[in-house]
Amino acid sequence: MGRGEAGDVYRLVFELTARATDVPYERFLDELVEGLAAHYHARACRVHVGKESRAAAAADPEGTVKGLDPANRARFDTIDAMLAEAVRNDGVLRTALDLEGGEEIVNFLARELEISETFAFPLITRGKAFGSITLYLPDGYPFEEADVRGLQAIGNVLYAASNRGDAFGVTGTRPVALSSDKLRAYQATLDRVGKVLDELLFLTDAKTVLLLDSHGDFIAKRGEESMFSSTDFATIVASGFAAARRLAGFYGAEGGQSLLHEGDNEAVLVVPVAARALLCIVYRDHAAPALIARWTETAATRLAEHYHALTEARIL
Amino acid sequence: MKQGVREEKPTVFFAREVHQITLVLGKFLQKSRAETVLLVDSAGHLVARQGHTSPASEDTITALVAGTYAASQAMAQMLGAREFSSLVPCGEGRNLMILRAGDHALLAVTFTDESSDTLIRTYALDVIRRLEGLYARPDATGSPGEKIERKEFDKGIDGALDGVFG
Repeated sequence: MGRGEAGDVYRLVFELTARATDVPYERFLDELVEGLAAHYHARACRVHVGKESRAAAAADPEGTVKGLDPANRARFDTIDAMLAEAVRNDGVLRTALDLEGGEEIVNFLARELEISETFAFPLITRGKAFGSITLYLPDGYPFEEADVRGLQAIGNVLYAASNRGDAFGVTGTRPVALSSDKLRAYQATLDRVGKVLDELLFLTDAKTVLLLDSHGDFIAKRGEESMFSSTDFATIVASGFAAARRLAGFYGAEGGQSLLHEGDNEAVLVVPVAARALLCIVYRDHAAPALIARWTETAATRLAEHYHALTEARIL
Repeated sequence: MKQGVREEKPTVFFAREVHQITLVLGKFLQKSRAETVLLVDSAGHLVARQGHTSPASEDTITALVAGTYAASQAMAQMLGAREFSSLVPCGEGRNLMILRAGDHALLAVTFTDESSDTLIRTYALDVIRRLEGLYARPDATGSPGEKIERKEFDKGIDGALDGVFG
């Protein structure tokens, strides 16, 4: 991916976070910093999560930091920790110049590591900074709004990962030993459907992910416990979608259209699954709604592969 | 039994108001480069329109707009939100946006890639403010002869909905 393509950060974020569900959290963090360092041609990239002064993951593609003598490496670590703390405290993007003794720090980074630009981005979820991503660049980079939003989207994924731990284990009751091969295959399909919903919930940090058939019958749900009946909610989602689909049809749509309901703080996205079921995701303010739509559509495509099981599935 | 969309008391608009509303909608179309804008009362009756001709019976379109909106409001209520606006992609870069316009009406706007949903929303909010100003004017009354009576539409629209959903 060319470095000049700042807007392409969305693709990078998508590729990185799509892998998040397949690898352990620590390895995901390593892949994240390595991917970002490669995308921005950075000398180093570090991610901090929580109040730890030590970086949760660090990339040093050319071994520049590793090549420092111990005293200078310790100084670099201190600068990195100071940046992370400053960003976490007020949730604002910082550069090395913003730190106390900024000019001296900038000179040190330029002299020892040939770094001319340092950017520490806050990772914000639900209005609070909980960590940072710091990029140490050998020359200037034209950061765009897309870069900031893309990095913010990573924040949502990291927050979910650090707060949920083993997010992908299929939740629910312990599997019952099934004697029939047919039943075992059926159970395996249901588990795969549940895993797709778990992954979507994890990636988007959504409140709720709901699967229902197009007639409004509830199939499965993941996410927060709600005060309302999921069955009632499913019925309303399906009725709104039916009206919107017919409306879209009059204007030339040929099926497969999504429907987005947006409020001040929350949004509901409904995506059809194999024209017979609906995948509904309820999410709060998110830095990158376009990514949520893409993740949800990808999940809908994967669910469509299990459609025959969906028609009979009732998983809670 | 709960009150449904079709059972709401019809909103009465006077001819003079409808003329002013049409002017406001026309200005909106010019600024936003939207294709069509419909003002629909919350029961699904068309109040005013500007732009391209609707691709189907207008009664059907407005009834479906009101239905989509009613579902989105029910969702908002369940989730504890104040209100939702809806965005329906219609294929080939065309979208339909549905927003609440005051307490008694909805605005349905179709637009293509030439415009953007943010732009449409911004201009639509301006239109909604202007419309609310019109509703609130103390002289917003008319003689009984000016009334646009809408009860006779009810039967027709109910029939159109039956035709759509079977």
